[in-house]
Amino acid sequence: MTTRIHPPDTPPPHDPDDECLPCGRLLSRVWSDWEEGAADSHAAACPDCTAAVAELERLETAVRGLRDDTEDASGYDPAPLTERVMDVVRLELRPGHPLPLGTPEEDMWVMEYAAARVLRAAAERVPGVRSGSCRITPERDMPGRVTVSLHILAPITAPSLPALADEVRRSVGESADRRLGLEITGIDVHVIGFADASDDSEKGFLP
Amino acid sequence: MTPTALGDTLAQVVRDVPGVAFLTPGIAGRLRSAFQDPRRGGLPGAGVRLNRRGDTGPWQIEVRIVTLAGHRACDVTRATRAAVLAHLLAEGATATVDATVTVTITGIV
Repeated sequence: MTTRIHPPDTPPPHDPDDECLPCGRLLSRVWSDWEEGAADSHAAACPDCTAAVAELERLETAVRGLRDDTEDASGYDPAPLTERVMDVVRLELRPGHPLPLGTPEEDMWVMEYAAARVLRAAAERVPGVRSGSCRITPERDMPGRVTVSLHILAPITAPSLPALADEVRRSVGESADRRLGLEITGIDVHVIGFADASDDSEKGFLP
Repeated sequence: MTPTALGDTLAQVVRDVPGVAFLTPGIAGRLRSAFQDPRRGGLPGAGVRLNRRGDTGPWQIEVRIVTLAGHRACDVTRATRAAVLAHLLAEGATATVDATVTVTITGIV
């Protein structure tokens, strides 16, 4: 008793998956003949059969490459993929709330997560400042307007924290207007610590 | 025009608005984005949702987009809204007058 591991030499003619080459031979037969070393003089001279065998060789090379890559998994770093997936999940689960753009009648919005990224970047344009949590909240009594609450780390060399906060407020306000078009009624800047100017590790911290 | 066909057409209209990077993909589209560039179109109609009450009620159209950082967000949403309404008018879609269009920016790149 034998176990068949290759397709039969001559598959049923009604098999729709078996391609018939222009020379009249079935693709399955050309491939199996080549694998078994049974190619005849036609196969060696026929351009259609030669091209079909070349395709099979390319496929086998690609499969071998994938198998070798998989066997040597020590160099594979899954961290970027994991981070990408988690970024997606975080964004889907915590996009923040929609913030109004334009007039209420226009029905236009920007999600808090997207707007906060712009405002945090604006705060960090002030030299030495590292931005953290940025919450943007719609004003209850003033439709179409929002307030901003921003946490920052100040540079340890800052001579005046109130002056620094004013500078951050100006940068954030300007970006809110020029890059987003948000109508802001107030920007609260909370200095929650100091950052070493030579240390970038706290950039974009999120307490 | 069927909701699906109108959604696909509006998706293309929105993609052509200056400042629109691409339509917001769903979560499956985001995870697949390593293999499929959403700027090339993504799934037909992704980011555009249409509803209407009955067969002749006014369209309720929700558009979710990602915009380019070099463009003012408010201006892009306004242009998107205008483009959608202009297309509905040009197509002579029924109940266009009462159509509501909501545009939301979900990301800025």
